[in-house]
Amino acid sequence: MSPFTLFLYMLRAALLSTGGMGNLSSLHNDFVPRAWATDAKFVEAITVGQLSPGPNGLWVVSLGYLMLGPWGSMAALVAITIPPFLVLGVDRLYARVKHHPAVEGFLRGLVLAVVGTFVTVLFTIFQSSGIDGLKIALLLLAFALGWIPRIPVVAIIVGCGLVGLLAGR
Amino acid sequence: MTLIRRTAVDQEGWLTEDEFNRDWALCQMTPGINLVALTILVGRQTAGIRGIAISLFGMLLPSAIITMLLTAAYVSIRGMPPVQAALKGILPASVGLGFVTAIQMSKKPLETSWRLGLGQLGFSLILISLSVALLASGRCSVTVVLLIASAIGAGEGALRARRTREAIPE
Repeated sequence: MSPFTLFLYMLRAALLSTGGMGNLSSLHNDFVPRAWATDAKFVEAITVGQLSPGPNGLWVVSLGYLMLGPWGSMAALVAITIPPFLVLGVDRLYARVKHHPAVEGFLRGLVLAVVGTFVTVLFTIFQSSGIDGLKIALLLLAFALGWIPRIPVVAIIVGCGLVGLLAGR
Repeated sequence: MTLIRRTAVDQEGWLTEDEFNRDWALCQMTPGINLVALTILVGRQTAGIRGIAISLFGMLLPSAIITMLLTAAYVSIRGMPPVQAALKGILPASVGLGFVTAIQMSKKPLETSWRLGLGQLGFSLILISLSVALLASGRCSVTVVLLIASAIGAGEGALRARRTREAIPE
């Protein structure tokens, strides 16, 4: 796989989703069955994305690196920078189609499907690692703590990592 | 987002509160990272095309480089057994945080449909379940699922509009 192919897939995924994580399900669906990436690489990339500064959407920069090295990172960065420029067109169109019911319905369907596919892929990734009691407990703990704005995401990830480390001894 | 808002609205006065809220709504409708779209709009407001280029550069490049370096550092220690053990704890944490993200993403459309009535909320929940079922069945790719759900949403919206128009005599 070339960096350009990676760029095209990442561009398509970003164009067909909203938010920085919405492209997860498309990319998982494109890369894992073709064995270009593994579930493990997706988890690693998402984790690095959450640990590093800037928008979480930069997780694909990490995924690109894990797949193709620095060129993969660059391909990913360019791919996710292009779709947000559509906001300039949306800005211009907005006044005209704002209250058009079909447009509103289209967006609603898209966002809800992004959520549905996102959840499905998260579950697939979780399942692929082998489920045990500790993992379910950590998942629920992270889910609960994730709602508290005062607790940084980094602390949750590092804390759960430490639990994994202690349990692995 | 909070930080951009504080700088652009409260401190520098590049945008009014209303302009900022409108811009943020547009960004949520745009594909890709919302914060990048917001950076583009705020950058244009302050200094045109040059503003877009400079603010995007400042927002993305440092973070992207750090992300890349962190990944590179990770790759060099990946094989060590303690790292593998820690990953066993990190995976469920990332998935759990992902579920938080999923609920946050669905909050706005669900709230909007709730305001339209119970039937509309049900319709939204059915769209989510349908996407899960279609993808889990393994017969549709993610792209196809997204397109099907959007088409159903657009069709329902158009139908509802026509019914409302018929109900109100000219």
